[in-house]
Amino acid sequence: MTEETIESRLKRMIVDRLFMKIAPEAIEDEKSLVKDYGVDSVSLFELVVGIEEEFGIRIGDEEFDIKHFLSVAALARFVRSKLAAPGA
Amino acid sequence: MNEDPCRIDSGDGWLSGMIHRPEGPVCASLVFCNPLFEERKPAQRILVETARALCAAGYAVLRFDYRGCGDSSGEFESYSVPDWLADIEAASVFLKAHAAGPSTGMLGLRLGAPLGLKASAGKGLFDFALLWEPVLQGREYVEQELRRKLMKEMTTFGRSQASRDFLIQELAAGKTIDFDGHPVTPALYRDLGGVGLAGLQAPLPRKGLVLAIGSSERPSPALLQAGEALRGAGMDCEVRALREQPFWNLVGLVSCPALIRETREWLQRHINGKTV
Repeated sequence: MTEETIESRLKRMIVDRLFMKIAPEAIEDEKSLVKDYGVDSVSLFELVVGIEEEFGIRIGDEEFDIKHFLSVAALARFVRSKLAAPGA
Repeated sequence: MNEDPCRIDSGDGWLSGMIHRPEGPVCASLVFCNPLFEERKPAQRILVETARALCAAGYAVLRFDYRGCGDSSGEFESYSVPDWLADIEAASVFLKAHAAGPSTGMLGLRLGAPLGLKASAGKGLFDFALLWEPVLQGREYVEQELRRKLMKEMTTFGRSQASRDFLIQELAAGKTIDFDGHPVTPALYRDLGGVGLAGLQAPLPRKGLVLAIGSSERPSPALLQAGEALRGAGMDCEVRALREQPFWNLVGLVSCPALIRETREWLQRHINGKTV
């Protein structure tokens, strides 16, 4: 699985689950999900559930750190690290 | 179409309600069972729109707040599940006395869905039930709400301040914890564990529609299983998914025309003017 694929899947999932009215490819990797795309704390919950379902990973309570959720690029790095972890 | 505020006696207090009565004969009557906690306020607008749309189609609707919620009497922390079940029963008695139709049903959103069914189970309060994105199991719901709380902490402080295990230990130790302004007492936590769609006492409402509402176009396996359990307990129910925004979680203006249309059409197909 390539990094680009992870990012594309994240964008598709974000647009789908948050009912965003933009094309997935219009989301820029480094732009802020909160400031630029209007993702709030409630939407973040949808996002977390979506990531868990899409990638088959479990995000622990101790991993709720805003640095992982700042942008698609940050999310992709987080997902990649989870997928690379032993037992993933 | 008439909308009249009402006050319904229940237990040690009263419920603030709004009764929607159609101009002509009542096709059927429905009690709306609200969600709780943070999901209640964002749900209000769609529930009002639904009540008005159903009323325009000939249905009488009673919307109300549980004790300790909204404009009803009391403080949230003074009440728990048994009180809210009594409130639903009081609301159904009131509706039957003031806008009776050939049959009476419930429309329950999220936690309101299992609460309405539990209130009716064994008592036959409701002939039919509409369950919108029902909470399947109260304990899982609490865990989910705790997770939301941690995420809010993350957006405020940069990272979560505790873990679900820690918060549950606090409840087990007799401490009250806060769900965004709603104090969850150990008693409420315990009682919510007994709320769900499984193991309800017969008779249940005879007809039902279970709607999954969200981004998925198919009901989850867990919801399909819950539907099976309801059928096994004697409710002739359909389980469907509807792609609409989870409006009970959203702060901004949301409209759900497909949800309201689907609900009205199901009522017209299955309930309209008939004794269920």
